[in-house]
Amino acid sequence: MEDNKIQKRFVPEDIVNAVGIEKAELAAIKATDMADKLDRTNHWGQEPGHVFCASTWSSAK
Amino acid sequence: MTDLHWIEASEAAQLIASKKLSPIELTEALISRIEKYDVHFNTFITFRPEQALEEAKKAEEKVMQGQTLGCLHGVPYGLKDIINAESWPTTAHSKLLIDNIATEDAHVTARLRHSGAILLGKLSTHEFALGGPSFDLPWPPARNAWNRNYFPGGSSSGSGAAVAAGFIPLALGSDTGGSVRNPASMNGLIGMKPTYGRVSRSGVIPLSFSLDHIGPLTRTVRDNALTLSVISGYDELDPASARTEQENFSDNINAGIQGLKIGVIRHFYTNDMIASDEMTNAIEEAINILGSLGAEVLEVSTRSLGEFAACNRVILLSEACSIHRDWLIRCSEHYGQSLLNRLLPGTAFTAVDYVEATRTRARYASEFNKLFLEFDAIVTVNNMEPAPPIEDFEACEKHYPRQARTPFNVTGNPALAVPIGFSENGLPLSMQIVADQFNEEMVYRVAAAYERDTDWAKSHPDLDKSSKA
Repeated sequence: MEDNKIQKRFVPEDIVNAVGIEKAELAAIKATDMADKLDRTNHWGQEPGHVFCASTWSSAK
Repeated sequence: MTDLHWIEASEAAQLIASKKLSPIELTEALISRIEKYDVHFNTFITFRPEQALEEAKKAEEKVMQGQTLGCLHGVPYGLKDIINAESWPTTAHSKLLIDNIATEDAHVTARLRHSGAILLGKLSTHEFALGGPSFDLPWPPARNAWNRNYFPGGSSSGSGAAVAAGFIPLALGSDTGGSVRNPASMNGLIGMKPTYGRVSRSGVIPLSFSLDHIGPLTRTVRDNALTLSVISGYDELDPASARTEQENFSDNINAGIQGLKIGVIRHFYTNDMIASDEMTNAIEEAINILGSLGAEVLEVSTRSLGEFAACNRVILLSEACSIHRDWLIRCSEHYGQSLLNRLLPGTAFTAVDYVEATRTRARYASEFNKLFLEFDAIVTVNNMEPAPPIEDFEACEKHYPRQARTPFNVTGNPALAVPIGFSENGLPLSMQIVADQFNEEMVYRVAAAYERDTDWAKSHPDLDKSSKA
C-alpha cells in the first residue's frame, strides 16, 4: 500500500539552538502532523486567499 | 435604576446625555467594584482609576455645557492588552514587552475615544494572544467570572471576565482562531468576530495577519452592535481594511426573524467532534427557540472541523513565526512555556505548506459562502463543553481545540457568540450565529430575537460567591 504520509518537518537550526533539541523535536513532530492533515487537493489554478491586490496599496484619492 | 455595574453601555450613554446619570458616578461605581473584586479575577494588567476619573469629570463638563456628544460618551471600557492606547503600556501579557509604552492610539482606540468612551484599563490576555492560561508570566491569568477556579476562555480572557464581572460594560478583544468568542462563551457574553476587514487592526500587536480580527465583548446584543458601529470602518493603515461605509448595526436589530431561513451545522458537534450532552441539549433547545420565533430551520453541511483546523493552524503559526522569529532566536527564555510550545511548530512548516493552506482557505471560503445564496444565517455550537478547571493543565490543553470557531476565521464571515444557558455546575454555554460577509446586521438581528425570548442576558455572576468558589 502506498504511503502518502508527508516527509518529516524540521525546526531550523537557529531555533533549535535557542530553544533546545527536546522542544524542537516535539515541535517538529507536531508540525509534521499538522502539515499532513492539511487538505492539498487544490486545482493547479487555485489562487491563495489573499493574493496581492494592487488597489490595496494605492493611495486614497 | 439597575445596579450601576450591570447597566448597559447604550443605556448609560443615554442617561448621561440626558443628565440623569453622572459619568463620574458611573466610573466611581466601577472602580469601586474592580478594587473590591479584581484581586480574585486578575482581569486588569494596567488599571488607571485616577486618569479615568479625570476623563469622567471632563465628560460631565461637556454634558453640562451642552456640547455634541459621541454615542458612548462617559462610558468606561477596557482593551485587551495587545491594543495600543497612547501613553499606556501594551504588554501582550509578556515579559518581552513589559516596558513597552504605546506612542499612539490604535485605530479602534481612537474611534472609541472619539465616541466619548473612557478607557479604564488594559486587560489580561494569553501571551501574545496565543499561549495560556499561563502561570509563568509577569501577571497571573484572568479567571472565570462565574467561578474563579475555572478557565475564562482566551485569548481575550481579561476582556471576557471583566465584562461578565460587571467591571466594565464593554471591552475589545482579538479573534484569530476564536479568541473573542471563546471568552464570550466561557463567561456568558455576546462576543463578535466581525467580517475580516470590517475593523482595522492598525495599532494592534499582530498574531496572524490574515486571520486577526478585532471585536467587542458585551453583556447584550444591543451594546455589541453599538460598539461595532463605533469601531468599524475603513482605515488606510490596515491593508486588509475594507472600503465600507460607516454603518449602524443596530438599525435592524428589532426586526425579528419571522420567515428567515436559518441553517444548522450539526455535524460540527455530533460527528466531527462529540459535544457534551448538556452542550448538545442547550444548542438544540436554542435551535427550537429560533424555529418557534418563525424562522425556517434546516440542517446544512460544510467542511469538517478537522479540515478547517488544519488550514487555520498552518496559516496562523506560519504568520506568527514570521513575527516572533527574531525573539525566538535572541530571547526565547522570556516566553512562557505555553506560548513557546504552541508557537514552535510554525517554524517547521515549509513555504509550500503555507501557500497550500492559503489556497485551501480560499477554496473553503468560497464553498462556505455559497450557503448564503439560500440561507440568511447559520447557527452552530461554540465550545464542545463548558469551561475546564483553570489549574488543570491537561484539561485546559484538551479543551483548547474542542471548538467550532476556527472555521469562521478561515472563511472570514461574521460570527457571534451568544449565551444559551448554563451547565450543571453553573458555567455558561454558548452558540454561534454566522452570516454572509459584511452582513453583521443579520447576525445581530437573529441574536437579538433570541435574546428577547430568553433570560440569559439578565443572568449575572454573584462575585461574593464566584470569587470564593
